[in-house]
Amino acid sequence: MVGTLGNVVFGGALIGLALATLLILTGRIMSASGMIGSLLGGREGLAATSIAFLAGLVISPALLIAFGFARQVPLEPGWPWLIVGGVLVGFGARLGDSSVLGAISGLARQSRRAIGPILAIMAGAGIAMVLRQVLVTGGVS
Amino acid sequence: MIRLAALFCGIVCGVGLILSGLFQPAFLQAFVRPAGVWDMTLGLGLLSALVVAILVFALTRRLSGPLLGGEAEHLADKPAWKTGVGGVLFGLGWGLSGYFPLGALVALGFFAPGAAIFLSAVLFGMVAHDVVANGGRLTIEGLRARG
Repeated sequence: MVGTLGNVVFGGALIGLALATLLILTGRIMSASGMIGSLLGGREGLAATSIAFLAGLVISPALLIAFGFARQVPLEPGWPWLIVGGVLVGFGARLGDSSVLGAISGLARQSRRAIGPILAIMAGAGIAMVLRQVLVTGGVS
Repeated sequence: MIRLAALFCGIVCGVGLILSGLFQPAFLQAFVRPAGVWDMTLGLGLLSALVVAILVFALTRRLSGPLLGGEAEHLADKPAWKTGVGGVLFGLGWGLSGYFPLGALVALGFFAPGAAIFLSAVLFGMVAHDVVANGGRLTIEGLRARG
């Protein structure tokens, strides 16, 4: 279901290449808060590059399928998880400019300010997994 | 040209998220498992992204601005409590749903119905933050305000 080790390393490398290239060529930071947030308003002129980048993400599966890759159906949790999780992600992203790839982009530029947000995100994710375990199975197994 | 570059980077990033499987909600759950064995592949994928980005940035250190013009985007200097609380909320939502926004966009490309639900909720959360930050008013100015 999830990639083999080689795929994970290669795919991760592509993500790193994309986020560095994006910043070098266009000056944009690859983060949900910036990319989606700029569509809600903000600095002029950012929306066009945001839409282009987000469109690239959405069409990438179609391109892979066109080149013969198998369609991947993500294993998704039930809609209550998706709704609660989505609202928290959106609120948090806007409050703290928090995002997974944005934090990696900051770390890669050796910005010490990126360490705090990464730890906060990981802490939140850890708490969430304990919560899920408790809510789903009725106890931490 | 700048839009074409952004589109291209979006495609490369999407392909990376698909090949690595990082966009899959199940990936995170395999990684952060409170009482089980930790599957380090998520960490490995993110580490790989980090190392490549560090290398590219090191090679292009002398550039003064974006190659295609314009100026580099700078994140607003937010107080530590905002990045801290925002980060924890983001992580909570990520852990509960398994999705993060850019990964969910890739899943949307696979016509995953949950990704559409998740992304709608993300937009709602962002607008909700702006409404709260603007004293409960939903205005055009409110939507335009940053942070």
